[in-house]
Amino acid sequence: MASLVEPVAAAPLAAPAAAPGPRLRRLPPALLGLLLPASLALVWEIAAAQAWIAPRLLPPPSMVAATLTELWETGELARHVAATLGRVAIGFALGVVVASVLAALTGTIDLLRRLLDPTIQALRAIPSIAWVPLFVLWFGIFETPKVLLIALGAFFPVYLGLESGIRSVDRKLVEVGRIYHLGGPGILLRILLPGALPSWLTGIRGGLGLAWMFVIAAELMGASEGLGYLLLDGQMSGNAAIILGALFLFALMGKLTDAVLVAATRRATAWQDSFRSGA
Amino acid sequence: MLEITGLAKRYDSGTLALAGVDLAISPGRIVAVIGPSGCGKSTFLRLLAGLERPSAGSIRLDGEELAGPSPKIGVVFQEPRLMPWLDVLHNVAFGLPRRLSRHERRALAAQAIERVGLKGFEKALPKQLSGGMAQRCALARALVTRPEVMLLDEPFSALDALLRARLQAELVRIWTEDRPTLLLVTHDLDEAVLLADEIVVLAGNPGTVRTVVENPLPRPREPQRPAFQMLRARLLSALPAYNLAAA
Repeated sequence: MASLVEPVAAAPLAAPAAAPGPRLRRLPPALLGLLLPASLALVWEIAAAQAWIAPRLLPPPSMVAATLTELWETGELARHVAATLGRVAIGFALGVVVASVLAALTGTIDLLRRLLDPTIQALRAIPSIAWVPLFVLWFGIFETPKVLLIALGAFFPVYLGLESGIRSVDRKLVEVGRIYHLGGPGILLRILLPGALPSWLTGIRGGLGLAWMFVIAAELMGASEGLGYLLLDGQMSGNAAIILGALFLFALMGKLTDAVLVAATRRATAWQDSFRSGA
Repeated sequence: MLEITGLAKRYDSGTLALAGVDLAISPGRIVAVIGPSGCGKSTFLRLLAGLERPSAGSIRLDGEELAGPSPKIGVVFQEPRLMPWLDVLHNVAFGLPRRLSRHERRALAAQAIERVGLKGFEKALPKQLSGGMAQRCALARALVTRPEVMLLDEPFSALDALLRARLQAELVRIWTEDRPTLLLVTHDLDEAVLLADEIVVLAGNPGTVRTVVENPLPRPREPQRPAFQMLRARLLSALPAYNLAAA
Protein backbone atom coordinates (compact mmCIF):
# COMPACT_ATOMS: atom_id res chain seq x y z
CA MET A 1 0.00 0.00 0.00
CA ALA A 2 2.57 2.50 1.11
CA SER A 3 4.68 1.99 -1.97
CA LEU A 4 1.67 2.81 -4.13
CA VAL A 5 0.78 5.98 -2.30
CA GLU A 6 4.22 7.45 -1.84
CA PRO A 7 5.12 8.48 -5.42
CA VAL A 8 1.77 10.22 -5.82
CA ALA A 9 2.28 12.17 -2.62
CA ALA A 10 5.86 13.01 -3.46
CA ALA A 11 5.23 14.27 -6.97
CA PRO A 12 3.49 17.60 -6.23
CA LEU A 13 6.05 18.36 -3.52
CA ALA A 14 8.99 17.74 -5.81
CA ALA A 15 7.70 19.77 -8.74
CA PRO A 16 7.86 23.37 -7.39
CA ALA A 17 11.18 22.77 -5.60
CA ALA A 18 12.75 21.57 -8.83
CA ALA A 19 12.35 24.92 -10.58
CA PRO A 20 14.95 27.26 -8.94
CA GLY A 21 17.12 24.62 -7.21
CA PRO A 22 18.82 22.69 -10.00
CA ARG A 23 19.79 25.76 -12.02
CA LEU A 24 21.77 27.22 -9.11
CA ARG A 25 23.11 23.81 -8.21
CA ARG A 26 24.38 23.28 -11.73
CA LEU A 27 26.85 26.16 -11.37
CA PRO A 28 30.40 25.14 -10.49
CA PRO A 29 30.89 25.33 -6.68
CA ALA A 30 33.60 27.97 -7.05
CA LEU A 31 31.21 30.29 -8.92
CA LEU A 32 28.46 29.59 -6.41
CA GLY A 33 30.77 30.68 -3.60
CA LEU A 34 31.54 33.93 -5.42
CA LEU A 35 27.88 34.79 -5.84
CA LEU A 36 27.42 36.46 -2.44
CA PRO A 37 30.59 38.64 -2.43
CA ALA A 38 29.98 39.68 -6.05
CA SER A 39 26.41 40.78 -5.34
CA LEU A 40 27.49 42.65 -2.23
CA ALA A 41 30.19 44.45 -4.21
CA LEU A 42 27.63 45.43 -6.82
CA VAL A 43 25.20 46.84 -4.23
CA TRP A 44 28.07 48.62 -2.54
CA GLU A 45 29.23 50.13 -5.84
CA ILE A 46 25.74 51.39 -6.62
CA ALA A 47 25.35 52.80 -3.11
CA ALA A 48 28.57 54.76 -3.53
CA ALA A 49 27.62 56.00 -7.01
CA GLN A 50 24.27 57.22 -5.64
CA ALA A 51 26.21 58.96 -2.85
CA TRP A 52 24.26 57.07 -0.14
CA ILE A 53 27.55 56.54 1.68
CA ALA A 54 30.59 58.78 2.02
CA PRO A 55 33.35 57.48 -0.28
CA ARG A 56 35.98 58.85 2.09
CA LEU A 57 34.88 56.42 4.80
CA LEU A 58 33.70 53.56 2.62
CA PRO A 59 35.20 53.81 -0.86
CA PRO A 60 33.50 51.67 -3.50
CA PRO A 61 35.14 48.47 -4.81
CA SER A 62 36.21 50.24 -8.02
CA MET A 63 38.23 52.75 -5.99
CA VAL A 64 39.80 50.01 -3.87
CA ALA A 65 40.74 48.17 -7.04
CA ALA A 66 42.23 51.35 -8.51
CA THR A 67 44.30 51.92 -5.36
CA LEU A 68 45.57 48.34 -5.43
CA THR A 69 46.42 48.60 -9.13
CA GLU A 70 48.34 51.77 -8.47
CA LEU A 71 50.30 50.13 -5.67
CA TRP A 72 50.93 47.13 -7.87
CA GLU A 73 52.33 49.25 -10.69
CA THR A 74 54.88 50.90 -8.43
CA GLY A 75 55.96 47.43 -7.30
CA GLU A 76 55.12 48.29 -3.72
CA LEU A 77 52.23 45.88 -3.41
CA ALA A 78 54.32 42.89 -4.45
CA ARG A 79 56.90 43.85 -1.81
CA HIS A 80 54.28 44.02 0.96
CA VAL A 81 52.60 40.80 -0.06
CA ALA A 82 55.93 38.99 -0.30
CA ALA A 83 56.99 40.24 3.15
CA THR A 84 53.77 39.05 4.79
CA LEU A 85 53.71 35.74 2.94
CA GLY A 86 57.34 35.11 3.88
CA ARG A 87 56.66 35.72 7.58
CA VAL A 88 53.59 33.50 7.55
CA ALA A 89 55.47 30.74 5.73
CA ILE A 90 58.45 30.69 8.10
CA GLY A 91 56.43 31.17 11.29
CA PHE A 92 53.80 28.62 10.29
CA ALA A 93 56.41 26.03 9.27
CA LEU A 94 58.27 26.54 12.54
CA GLY A 95 55.08 26.22 14.59
CA VAL A 96 53.95 23.08 12.77
CA VAL A 97 57.31 21.33 13.11
CA VAL A 98 57.79 22.10 16.81
CA ALA A 99 54.17 21.27 17.67
CA SER A 100 54.26 18.01 15.72
CA VAL A 101 57.48 16.78 17.31
CA LEU A 102 56.23 17.65 20.80
CA ALA A 103 52.82 16.07 20.24
CA ALA A 104 54.39 12.92 18.81
CA LEU A 105 56.47 12.66 21.98
CA THR A 106 53.72 13.40 24.49
CA GLY A 107 51.28 11.27 22.51
CA THR A 108 53.45 8.17 22.65
CA ILE A 109 55.46 8.45 25.85
CA ASP A 110 53.13 8.51 28.81
CA LEU A 111 55.69 9.94 31.19
CA LEU A 112 56.38 12.88 28.86
CA ARG A 113 52.68 13.56 28.51
CA ARG A 114 52.21 13.74 32.26
CA LEU A 115 55.32 15.89 32.50
CA LEU A 116 54.70 18.37 29.69
CA ASP A 117 51.05 18.37 28.76
CA PRO A 118 49.70 20.29 31.78
CA THR A 119 52.23 23.07 31.15
CA ILE A 120 51.39 23.26 27.47
CA GLN A 121 47.68 23.37 28.25
CA ALA A 122 48.26 26.15 30.77
CA LEU A 123 50.32 28.18 28.30
CA ARG A 124 47.52 27.77 25.78
CA ALA A 125 45.25 29.72 28.12
CA ILE A 126 47.37 32.85 27.60
CA PRO A 127 46.03 34.84 24.65
CA SER A 128 48.96 34.77 22.24
CA ILE A 129 48.82 38.53 21.66
CA ALA A 130 49.72 38.95 25.33
CA TRP A 131 53.19 37.66 24.49
CA VAL A 132 53.92 40.66 22.27
CA PRO A 133 55.50 42.92 24.91
CA LEU A 134 57.73 40.12 26.14
CA PHE A 135 58.75 39.14 22.63
CA VAL A 136 59.62 42.74 21.78
CA LEU A 137 61.64 42.98 24.98
CA TRP A 138 63.52 39.78 24.23
CA PHE A 139 63.93 39.85 20.48
CA GLY A 140 63.62 43.52 19.49
CA ILE A 141 61.23 44.75 16.85
CA PHE A 142 62.58 43.15 13.70
CA GLU A 143 61.80 39.83 12.09
CA THR A 144 62.50 37.41 14.96
CA PRO A 145 59.62 38.36 17.28
CA LYS A 146 57.20 38.49 14.35
CA VAL A 147 58.06 35.01 13.13
CA LEU A 148 58.01 33.62 16.66
CA LEU A 149 54.61 35.14 17.38
CA ILE A 150 53.20 33.53 14.23
CA ALA A 151 54.83 30.23 15.15
CA LEU A 152 53.26 30.44 18.60
CA GLY A 153 49.86 31.07 17.06
CA ALA A 154 50.18 28.05 14.77
CA PHE A 155 51.63 25.85 17.52
CA PHE A 156 48.59 25.18 19.71
CA PRO A 157 46.03 23.95 17.18
CA VAL A 158 48.62 21.67 15.60
CA TYR A 159 49.77 20.32 18.94
CA LEU A 160 46.22 19.69 20.15
CA GLY A 161 45.19 18.14 16.83
CA LEU A 162 48.02 15.65 16.70
CA GLU A 163 48.02 14.87 20.41
CA SER A 164 44.30 14.14 20.58
CA GLY A 165 44.51 12.31 17.25
CA ILE A 166 47.19 9.98 18.57
CA ARG A 167 45.26 9.35 21.73
CA SER A 168 42.12 8.41 19.87
CA VAL A 169 43.81 5.83 17.63
CA ASP A 170 42.16 2.45 18.21
CA ARG A 171 44.02 0.43 20.86
CA LYS A 172 43.22 -2.67 18.84
CA LEU A 173 45.28 -1.41 15.91
CA VAL A 174 48.19 -0.73 18.21
CA GLU A 175 47.95 -4.36 19.35
CA VAL A 176 48.33 -5.46 15.75
CA GLY A 177 51.57 -3.49 15.70
CA ARG A 178 52.71 -5.26 18.85
CA ILE A 179 51.89 -8.66 17.34
CA TYR A 180 54.33 -7.80 14.55
CA HIS A 181 56.99 -6.69 17.04
CA LEU A 182 56.97 -3.03 16.12
CA GLY A 183 58.82 -0.95 18.69
CA GLY A 184 57.81 2.54 19.82
CA PRO A 185 59.06 4.31 16.68
CA GLY A 186 57.52 1.68 14.40
CA ILE A 187 54.14 1.98 16.11
CA LEU A 188 54.38 5.78 15.95
CA LEU A 189 55.27 5.91 12.25
CA ARG A 190 53.13 3.08 10.95
CA ILE A 191 50.05 3.23 13.16
CA LEU A 192 49.75 6.31 15.37
CA LEU A 193 50.70 9.05 12.90
CA PRO A 194 48.64 7.69 9.98
CA GLY A 195 45.71 7.12 12.33
CA ALA A 196 46.00 10.61 13.76
CA LEU A 197 46.40 12.23 10.34
CA PRO A 198 42.84 13.57 9.93
CA SER A 199 42.88 15.23 13.33
CA TRP A 200 46.46 16.43 12.72
CA LEU A 201 45.48 18.03 9.40
CA THR A 202 42.50 19.74 11.03
CA GLY A 203 44.95 21.17 13.54
CA ILE A 204 47.33 22.27 10.79
CA ARG A 205 44.48 24.00 8.99
CA GLY A 206 43.50 25.79 12.18
CA GLY A 207 47.14 26.68 12.70
CA LEU A 208 47.32 28.27 9.28
CA GLY A 209 44.27 30.38 10.08
CA LEU A 210 45.87 31.57 13.31
CA ALA A 211 49.17 32.24 11.53
CA TRP A 212 47.33 34.72 9.33
CA MET A 213 45.71 36.26 12.36
CA PHE A 214 48.99 36.66 14.16
CA VAL A 215 50.89 38.07 11.23
CA ILE A 216 48.67 41.16 11.50
CA ALA A 217 49.30 41.46 15.20
CA ALA A 218 53.01 41.05 14.51
CA GLU A 219 53.08 43.63 11.74
CA LEU A 220 50.99 46.10 13.67
CA MET A 221 53.64 46.12 16.39
CA GLY A 222 55.89 47.92 13.94
CA ALA A 223 57.01 46.99 10.47
CA SER A 224 58.38 48.76 7.44
CA GLU A 225 56.72 46.45 4.98
CA GLY A 226 53.91 43.92 4.82
CA LEU A 227 50.15 44.06 4.65
CA GLY A 228 49.95 45.03 8.31
CA TYR A 229 52.16 48.03 7.52
CA LEU A 230 49.78 48.86 4.67
CA LEU A 231 46.89 48.83 7.16
CA LEU A 232 48.71 51.21 9.50
CA ASP A 233 49.69 53.41 6.57
CA GLY A 234 46.06 53.63 5.51
CA GLN A 235 45.04 54.57 9.02
CA MET A 236 47.75 57.27 9.34
CA SER A 237 47.00 58.84 5.98
CA GLY A 238 43.24 58.49 6.41
CA ASN A 239 43.04 56.43 3.21
CA ALA A 240 40.21 53.91 3.66
CA ALA A 241 40.83 52.44 0.20
CA ILE A 242 44.27 51.21 1.26
CA ILE A 243 42.82 49.66 4.44
CA LEU A 244 40.06 47.92 2.51
CA GLY A 245 42.56 46.80 -0.11
CA ALA A 246 44.77 45.25 2.56
CA LEU A 247 41.76 43.55 4.15
CA PHE A 248 40.76 42.18 0.77
CA LEU A 249 44.27 40.82 0.23
CA PHE A 250 44.26 39.16 3.65
CA ALA A 251 40.98 37.46 2.84
CA LEU A 252 42.25 36.41 -0.58
CA MET A 253 45.58 35.01 0.60
CA GLY A 254 44.10 33.31 3.67
CA LYS A 255 41.52 31.59 1.51
CA LEU A 256 44.04 30.68 -1.18
CA THR A 257 46.62 29.19 1.18
CA ASP A 258 43.86 27.25 2.94
CA ALA A 259 42.59 25.92 -0.39
CA VAL A 260 46.11 24.85 -1.36
CA LEU A 261 46.51 23.04 1.98
CA VAL A 262 43.17 21.25 1.62
CA ALA A 263 43.87 20.25 -1.97
CA ALA A 264 47.35 19.02 -1.10
CA THR A 265 46.09 16.84 1.74
CA ARG A 266 42.81 15.57 0.34
CA ARG A 267 44.32 12.35 -0.96
CA ALA A 268 45.94 11.64 2.40
CA THR A 269 42.59 11.29 4.16
CA ALA A 270 40.66 9.59 1.34
CA TRP A 271 40.61 6.38 3.39
CA GLN A 272 38.30 7.87 6.00
CA ASP A 273 34.89 6.27 6.04
CA SER A 274 32.98 9.31 7.14
CA PHE A 275 29.79 11.16 6.35
CA ARG A 276 30.10 12.81 2.92
CA SER A 277 33.74 11.88 2.58
CA GLY A 278 32.98 11.02 -1.02
CA ALA A 279 31.37 14.39 -1.75
CA MET B 1 55.34 -28.48 19.69
CA LEU B 2 53.57 -25.90 21.79
CA GLU B 3 53.90 -26.62 25.50
CA ILE B 4 51.94 -24.71 28.05
CA THR B 5 52.66 -25.41 31.69
CA GLY B 6 51.01 -23.97 34.76
CA LEU B 7 49.90 -20.91 32.84
CA ALA B 8 48.11 -18.43 35.08
CA LYS B 9 47.05 -14.83 34.81
CA ARG B 10 45.94 -12.53 37.58
CA TYR B 11 45.07 -9.02 36.42
CA ASP B 12 46.12 -5.93 38.34
CA SER B 13 42.52 -5.62 39.49
CA GLY B 14 42.98 -8.89 41.38
CA THR B 15 40.82 -10.99 39.08
CA LEU B 16 42.24 -14.44 38.54
CA ALA B 17 41.39 -15.08 34.90
CA LEU B 18 43.39 -18.23 34.38
CA ALA B 19 44.66 -20.65 37.02
CA GLY B 20 47.26 -23.18 36.02
CA VAL B 21 46.55 -24.35 32.48
CA ASP B 22 48.64 -27.28 31.19
CA LEU B 23 48.42 -28.20 27.54
CA ALA B 24 50.66 -29.74 24.91
CA ILE B 25 49.80 -29.23 21.27
CA SER B 26 51.53 -31.20 18.54
CA PRO B 27 52.49 -29.35 15.39
CA GLY B 28 50.02 -29.24 12.53
CA ARG B 29 46.92 -29.88 14.60
CA ILE B 30 43.79 -27.85 14.80
CA VAL B 31 42.82 -27.26 18.41
CA ALA B 32 39.63 -25.54 19.48
CA VAL B 33 39.28 -23.96 22.90
CA ILE B 34 35.67 -23.70 24.07
CA GLY B 35 34.10 -22.67 27.31
CA PRO B 36 31.48 -20.40 28.82
CA SER B 37 31.95 -16.67 28.39
CA GLY B 38 34.27 -15.29 31.01
CA CYS B 39 36.15 -18.59 31.35
CA GLY B 40 39.44 -16.99 30.32
CA LYS B 41 39.43 -18.07 26.67
CA SER B 42 40.44 -14.67 25.45
CA THR B 43 43.02 -14.21 28.18
CA PHE B 44 44.51 -17.57 27.22
CA LEU B 45 44.83 -16.48 23.61
CA ARG B 46 46.25 -13.07 24.51
CA LEU B 47 48.89 -14.75 26.66
CA LEU B 48 49.90 -17.01 23.77
CA ALA B 49 49.96 -14.01 21.43
CA GLY B 50 52.33 -12.24 23.82
CA LEU B 51 49.93 -9.35 24.37
CA GLU B 52 49.70 -10.11 28.09
CA ARG B 53 52.41 -11.34 30.43
CA PRO B 54 51.62 -14.48 32.40
CA SER B 55 51.57 -14.19 36.20
CA ALA B 56 52.92 -17.73 36.44
CA GLY B 57 53.80 -20.66 34.22
CA SER B 58 55.43 -20.78 30.84
CA ILE B 59 54.73 -21.09 27.14
CA ARG B 60 57.31 -22.91 25.07
CA LEU B 61 57.35 -23.21 21.31
CA ASP B 62 59.79 -25.87 20.05
CA GLY B 63 61.44 -25.82 23.45
CA GLU B 64 61.95 -22.08 23.38
CA GLU B 65 60.36 -19.96 26.08
CA LEU B 66 58.09 -17.27 24.63
CA ALA B 67 58.32 -13.80 26.07
CA GLY B 68 56.20 -11.35 24.12
CA PRO B 69 54.98 -11.58 20.52
CA SER B 70 56.87 -14.06 18.36
CA PRO B 71 57.29 -14.09 14.58
CA LYS B 72 56.43 -17.78 14.69
CA ILE B 73 52.92 -16.98 15.89
CA GLY B 74 50.23 -15.33 13.78
CA VAL B 75 47.01 -13.90 15.15
CA VAL B 76 43.55 -13.38 13.67
CA PHE B 77 41.30 -11.36 15.93
CA GLN B 78 37.55 -11.36 16.22
CA GLU B 79 37.47 -8.09 14.27
CA PRO B 80 39.57 -7.69 11.13
CA ARG B 81 41.66 -4.88 12.68
CA LEU B 82 42.86 -3.62 9.33
CA MET B 83 44.67 -0.31 9.02
CA PRO B 84 41.93 1.84 7.44
CA TRP B 85 44.50 3.94 5.57
CA LEU B 86 46.15 0.99 3.83
CA ASP B 87 44.75 -0.91 0.87
CA VAL B 88 44.39 -4.71 1.00
CA LEU B 89 47.86 -5.35 -0.41
CA HIS B 90 49.58 -3.11 2.12
CA ASN B 91 47.48 -4.38 4.99
CA VAL B 92 48.52 -7.93 4.16
CA ALA B 93 52.16 -6.88 3.76
CA PHE B 94 52.00 -5.03 7.09
CA GLY B 95 53.43 -7.91 9.09
CA LEU B 96 56.31 -8.72 6.76
CA PRO B 97 59.73 -7.78 8.05
CA ARG B 98 61.19 -4.60 6.62
CA ARG B 99 64.42 -6.30 5.73
CA LEU B 100 62.67 -7.95 2.79
CA SER B 101 62.76 -5.89 -0.38
CA ARG B 102 59.68 -4.03 -1.54
CA HIS B 103 59.41 -6.45 -4.39
CA GLU B 104 59.56 -9.52 -2.16
CA ARG B 105 56.99 -8.10 0.23
CA ARG B 106 54.67 -7.32 -2.67
CA ALA B 107 55.03 -10.85 -4.09
CA LEU B 108 54.43 -12.57 -0.75
CA ALA B 109 51.41 -10.40 -0.01
CA ALA B 110 49.94 -11.07 -3.45
CA GLN B 111 50.37 -14.79 -2.85
CA ALA B 112 48.61 -14.66 0.52
CA ILE B 113 45.81 -12.59 -1.01
CA GLU B 114 45.31 -15.27 -3.64
CA ARG B 115 45.19 -17.98 -0.98
CA VAL B 116 42.28 -16.34 0.79
CA GLY B 117 40.46 -15.60 -2.46
CA LEU B 118 40.83 -11.83 -2.49
CA LYS B 119 42.65 -11.58 -5.80
CA GLY B 120 41.54 -8.50 -7.69
CA PHE B 121 40.91 -6.51 -4.50
CA GLU B 122 44.55 -5.60 -3.80
CA LYS B 123 43.88 -1.89 -4.18
CA ALA B 124 40.62 -1.79 -2.21
CA LEU B 125 40.50 0.17 1.06
CA PRO B 126 39.03 -1.46 4.17
CA LYS B 127 35.98 0.81 4.01
CA GLN B 128 35.14 -0.74 0.65
CA LEU B 129 35.28 -4.33 1.93
CA SER B 130 32.38 -6.39 3.26
CA GLY B 131 32.74 -8.06 6.66
CA GLY B 132 33.73 -11.39 5.12
CA MET B 133 36.27 -9.82 2.79
CA ALA B 134 37.81 -7.82 5.61
CA GLN B 135 38.20 -10.99 7.68
CA ARG B 136 39.78 -12.77 4.69
CA CYS B 137 42.22 -9.89 4.47
CA ALA B 138 43.03 -10.28 8.18
CA LEU B 139 43.57 -13.99 7.61
CA ALA B 140 45.95 -13.24 4.73
CA ARG B 141 47.88 -10.82 6.94
CA ALA B 142 48.39 -13.59 9.49
CA LEU B 143 49.25 -16.17 6.81
CA VAL B 144 51.76 -14.06 4.92
CA THR B 145 54.57 -14.64 7.40
CA ARG B 146 53.94 -18.42 7.32
CA PRO B 147 53.74 -18.76 11.11
CA GLU B 148 54.11 -22.14 12.76
CA VAL B 149 51.18 -21.43 15.02
CA MET B 150 48.10 -19.42 14.18
CA LEU B 151 45.84 -18.13 16.93
CA LEU B 152 42.27 -17.34 15.96
CA ASP B 153 40.00 -15.53 18.40
CA GLU B 154 36.41 -16.27 17.38
CA PRO B 155 37.38 -15.22 13.87
CA PHE B 156 34.02 -15.86 12.19
CA SER B 157 31.64 -14.99 15.00
CA ALA B 158 30.70 -11.63 13.47
CA LEU B 159 29.74 -13.16 10.10
CA ASP B 160 26.38 -14.53 8.99
CA ALA B 161 25.88 -18.31 9.01
CA LEU B 162 26.41 -18.85 5.29
CA LEU B 163 29.57 -16.81 5.12
CA ARG B 164 30.84 -18.47 8.29
CA ALA B 165 30.41 -21.93 6.78
CA ARG B 166 32.27 -20.85 3.66
CA LEU B 167 35.17 -19.32 5.53
CA GLN B 168 35.40 -22.35 7.81
CA ALA B 169 35.75 -24.59 4.76
CA GLU B 170 38.36 -22.28 3.28
CA LEU B 171 40.29 -22.22 6.53
CA VAL B 172 40.53 -26.01 6.41
CA ARG B 173 41.63 -25.86 2.77
CA ILE B 174 44.33 -23.30 3.56
CA TRP B 175 45.41 -25.33 6.57
CA THR B 176 45.90 -28.48 4.44
CA GLU B 177 48.32 -26.57 2.21
CA ASP B 178 51.09 -26.10 4.76
CA ARG B 179 49.56 -27.38 8.00
CA PRO B 180 50.35 -24.78 10.62
CA THR B 181 49.14 -25.43 14.16
CA LEU B 182 45.78 -23.71 14.48
CA LEU B 183 44.52 -22.71 17.88
CA LEU B 184 40.98 -21.51 17.63
CA VAL B 185 39.02 -19.92 20.44
CA THR B 186 35.29 -20.21 19.87
CA HIS B 187 31.98 -20.37 21.67
CA ASP B 188 30.40 -22.20 18.75
CA LEU B 189 30.28 -25.98 19.43
CA ASP B 190 29.56 -26.79 15.78
CA GLU B 191 32.58 -24.81 14.71
CA ALA B 192 34.73 -26.69 17.21
CA VAL B 193 33.52 -30.12 16.03
CA LEU B 194 33.72 -29.11 12.37
CA LEU B 195 37.27 -27.81 12.47
CA ALA B 196 39.25 -29.22 15.38
CA ASP B 197 41.26 -32.42 15.89
CA GLU B 198 41.25 -31.75 19.58
CA ILE B 199 38.82 -29.74 21.65
CA VAL B 200 39.87 -28.16 24.93
CA VAL B 201 36.98 -27.45 27.26
CA LEU B 202 37.70 -24.70 29.76
CA ALA B 203 35.81 -24.20 32.99
CA GLY B 204 35.47 -20.67 34.25
CA ASN B 205 36.16 -18.69 37.41
CA PRO B 206 39.07 -19.10 37.40
CA GLY B 207 39.86 -20.60 34.01
CA THR B 208 41.15 -24.16 34.10
CA VAL B 209 41.12 -27.06 31.64
CA ARG B 210 38.08 -29.17 32.38
CA THR B 211 38.72 -31.81 29.76
CA VAL B 212 40.32 -32.39 26.37
CA VAL B 213 38.22 -34.23 23.77
CA GLU B 214 39.74 -35.91 20.73
CA ASN B 215 37.82 -35.53 17.49
CA PRO B 216 38.29 -38.67 15.37
CA LEU B 217 35.84 -37.71 12.60
CA PRO B 218 37.36 -37.75 9.11
CA ARG B 219 37.31 -34.60 6.98
CA PRO B 220 35.24 -33.24 5.37
CA ARG B 221 32.87 -33.36 8.28
CA GLU B 222 29.14 -33.09 7.88
CA PRO B 223 27.15 -31.58 10.75
CA GLN B 224 24.03 -33.60 9.88
CA ARG B 225 25.80 -36.95 10.50
CA PRO B 226 24.96 -38.74 13.77
CA ALA B 227 28.63 -39.07 14.75
CA PHE B 228 28.99 -35.29 14.49
CA GLN B 229 25.93 -34.72 16.63
CA MET B 230 27.07 -37.25 19.20
CA LEU B 231 30.39 -35.55 19.63
CA ARG B 232 28.63 -32.23 19.91
CA ALA B 233 26.39 -33.64 22.63
CA ARG B 234 29.41 -34.95 24.47
CA LEU B 235 30.99 -31.52 24.45
CA LEU B 236 27.79 -29.94 25.61
CA SER B 237 27.66 -32.25 28.59
CA ALA B 238 31.29 -31.47 29.36
CA LEU B 239 30.50 -27.77 29.60
CA PRO B 240 29.48 -26.43 33.01
CA ALA B 241 25.74 -26.82 33.55
CA TYR B 242 25.00 -23.12 33.88
CA ASN B 243 26.06 -22.63 30.32
CA LEU B 244 23.65 -25.17 28.82
CA ALA B 245 20.98 -22.63 28.05
CA ALA B 246 23.40 -20.35 26.27
CA ALA B 247 24.91 -23.12 24.16
